[in-house]
Amino acid sequence: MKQFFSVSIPKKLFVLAILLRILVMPFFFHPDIKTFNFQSSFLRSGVINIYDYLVSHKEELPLKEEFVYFPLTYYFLGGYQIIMSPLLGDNFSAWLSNANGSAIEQIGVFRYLFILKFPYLLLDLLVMFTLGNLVVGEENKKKISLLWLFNPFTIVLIYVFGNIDIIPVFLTALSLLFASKGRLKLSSLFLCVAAGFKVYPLLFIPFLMFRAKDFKTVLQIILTSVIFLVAVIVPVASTSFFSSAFASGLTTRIINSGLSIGFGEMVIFPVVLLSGLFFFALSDKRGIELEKYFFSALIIIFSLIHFHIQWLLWISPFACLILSKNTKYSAYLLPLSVLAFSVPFLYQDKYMSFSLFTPISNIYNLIPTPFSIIQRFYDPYQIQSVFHSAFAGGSLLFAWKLLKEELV
Amino acid sequence: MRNVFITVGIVLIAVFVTPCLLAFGVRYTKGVEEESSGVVKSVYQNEVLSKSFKTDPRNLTGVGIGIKNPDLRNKKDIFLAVYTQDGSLIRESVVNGKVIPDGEFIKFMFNPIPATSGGEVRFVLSAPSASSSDALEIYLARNNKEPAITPLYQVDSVPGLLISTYSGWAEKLLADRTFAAAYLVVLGSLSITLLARKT
Repeated sequence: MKQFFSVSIPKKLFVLAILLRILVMPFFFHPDIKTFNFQSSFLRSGVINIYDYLVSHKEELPLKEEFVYFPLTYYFLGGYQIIMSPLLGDNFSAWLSNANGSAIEQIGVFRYLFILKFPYLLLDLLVMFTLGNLVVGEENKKKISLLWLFNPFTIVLIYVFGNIDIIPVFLTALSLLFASKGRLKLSSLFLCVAAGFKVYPLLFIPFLMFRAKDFKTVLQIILTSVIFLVAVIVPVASTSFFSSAFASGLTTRIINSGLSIGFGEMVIFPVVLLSGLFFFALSDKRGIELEKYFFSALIIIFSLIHFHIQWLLWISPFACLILSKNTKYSAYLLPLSVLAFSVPFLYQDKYMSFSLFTPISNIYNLIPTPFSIIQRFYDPYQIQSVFHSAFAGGSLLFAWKLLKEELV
Repeated sequence: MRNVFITVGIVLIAVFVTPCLLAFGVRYTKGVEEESSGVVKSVYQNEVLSKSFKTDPRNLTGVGIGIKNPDLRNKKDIFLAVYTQDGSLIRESVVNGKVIPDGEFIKFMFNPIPATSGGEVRFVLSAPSASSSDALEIYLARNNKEPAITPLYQVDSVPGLLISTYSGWAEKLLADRTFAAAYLVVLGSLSITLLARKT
């Protein structure tokens, strides 16, 4: 355990990394953090099935959104709020319930944002330790720790956008660590725990199954996954749960991008490529590193569907691992990361750009979005599409190169 | 080590410099935001809404109003006219329902009312081409009679805006004394650890 937490970089750099994060935490705001914390606050009142509760109380609630995450997110955030309630103070509930724009101007907003993002800091550091344990040798540990701690992309994704993705990201990194030690059942269990927060880690389960040496292990992985997911879902299983948690985000978008082939049928692009990747992994006799498969599966999805910016965090630990083992890949990963960020930056959503600064002053809410600025001269959707297409082209080529190099 | 310097630079610029740079893109600031009662009233044909604005209208360059437009059903123009006390029309602004998402805060912008203007003005919201079936619904103020309006003022001095932004930021942080003290102590301790020389 002590070895797991060994810091392989100079202590001062570790302190600097924490300092940077603490500097960012209270001063940036994306409304999602308020919405899902408002929804999770009902755990305190004893609500177990948040999906049913939100649907049945929609009329009287100030924020009408459905809870789109999987149940563990609700219990984790709700539980954390209960523990931190003495520090959050008496006005916190009123702040969460405030549905108009003035909430961000209230005194105490810095405290709320800092406390709500504090678990992210711990998980962020845990990801660094986990990644450090995935490589061999002090020099490689140092390299990957620096890559994870000092890249602006993850700092922005975790602390500026403030979504909960760092939780499943840590759990998938941990799963990779156990898989690298040959403990596939434990690895699949961590993927399922991660899927209890966000569903995407389930995509990685087939890669673990293909690594199993016998059918018994495959069966155990399947059983572990099914039993765990059923245990998570059963307490909240209802129409509201399925319509809220499944009808939004990744699960529907992944099957929407395709080409009609007539008679109501469609060739679904992400499924085509993911299926190809799974068959490739099935026939892999060389044991290509799992992170390359995890990375490729996610990059296929981001290339072919409209994605949320915070989803890019899912891929970050795998990208850091790949980069730490072969620095020449930075020639691909850096421009691809910039392109990936530029796509959501152009969404018609003010909280993708300048409005993130609203805790500092509400004047930043009054600046037109990049989308509106571009709209005066050109069609922003076309620019967005060009960026996304360039990202897709580069990403798919990079994924192919990653896997192919192993075959040569 | 290069990525350490780049990341430190990006974070410091994002936190301390970007707010200043972005302030140059601000063309107007919000006045006192009027809270809505949550009640709405439809505007169509001869059904109009008006409101007297008793605050000094100098440098007023627009107003923000919350509007309901479920499923973007309204695709007609909605007009905001500004009249002086003697009934002269001095400004007019128009927004089309196509760009009014349901429940959004919509800005009606016009040329700034000059500094020489004084006294009260009256706002009138109308949508003569809309019908009762596709009417836009306006969020009302606490009195449930007039629209809830947020005035928008032209920025007359960017340095002034910068000073007020940074001072407002510091005031907001320090207003929550307990948090500010704890936060600054943590930042200070980490900075000292960072700068301290090995003995």
